[in-house]
Amino acid sequence: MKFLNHSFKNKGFTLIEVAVVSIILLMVIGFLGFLSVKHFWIYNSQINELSAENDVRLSLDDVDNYVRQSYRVASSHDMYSTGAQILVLQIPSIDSSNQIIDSTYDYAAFYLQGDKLIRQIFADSSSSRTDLTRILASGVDSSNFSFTYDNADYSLVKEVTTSITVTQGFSNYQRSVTVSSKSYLRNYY
Amino acid sequence: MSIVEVIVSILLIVILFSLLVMEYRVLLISKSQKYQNIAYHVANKEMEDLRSTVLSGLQASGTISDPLLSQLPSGDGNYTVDDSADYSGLKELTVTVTWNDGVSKSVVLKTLASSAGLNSQ
Repeated sequence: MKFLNHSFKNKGFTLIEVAVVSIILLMVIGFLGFLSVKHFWIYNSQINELSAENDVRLSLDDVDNYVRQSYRVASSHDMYSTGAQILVLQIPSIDSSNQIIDSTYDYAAFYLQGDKLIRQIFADSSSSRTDLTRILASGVDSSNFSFTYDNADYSLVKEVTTSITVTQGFSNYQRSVTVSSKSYLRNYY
Repeated sequence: MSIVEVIVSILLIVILFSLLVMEYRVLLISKSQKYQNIAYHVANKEMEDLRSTVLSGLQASGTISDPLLSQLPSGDGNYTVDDSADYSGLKELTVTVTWNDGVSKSVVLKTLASSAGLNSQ
């Protein structure tokens, strides 16, 4: 008779081992989840922050650029009238050599359309500028957007201050940037 | 669990944690850029004010009072008007905006002004 000698080795895990491994696994999963959530939050909030900053900077630079070129703040042009949220500028027209054309003017209107800041150019037919409408910023907070002037009589205005708040994103990822800028009409004479 | 598995797991966690630390670093840099943008606009506004002042009326120095400074941690600003060292008859305008977000930082704008330029207005 032949007897088989079975060795009863413990090939599984003990309850303690399973419990410890499970706890470690849960901790790792929790940590990875925390990292993922933080990563998502940082990514979205930063995208919104950079977008808001970019819009604010570009729009203020654009307004300043046109104010500095201007001859006067016009009280109105086309369907736009200068006020707290609309700015109409009278700018000397320029020829193809960038030389000023005497007594000829283009107009630039800055205004809000919904939450967008728009710049619209009305060029004289002899000007090298062209009619153009451009969105300068989106997400503009209309209650925190204004043009202020150093004189109530627009024909005497020499200084324009622009204040703007741009908000991008939503919920916890929402970011707002508020900046103002001031510029003088270099061609006022 | 072999020693190799443990090492690989720890390595992965360290890499992921490093990524998080790097992201926070980016967050700080982004905030610093925001402050710099605000400081630049404050300095630029002050410079525009100085450029619109008659040259003889410019004070030798002064402080900046702008509501935007309150957005900067320990935000402060000042300007100086000096005779240009390089060009006689010209004034050198220097506008400085400082803030401290853990490290002292500043934005400095400089320009030259003359009675024949914008400052004669």
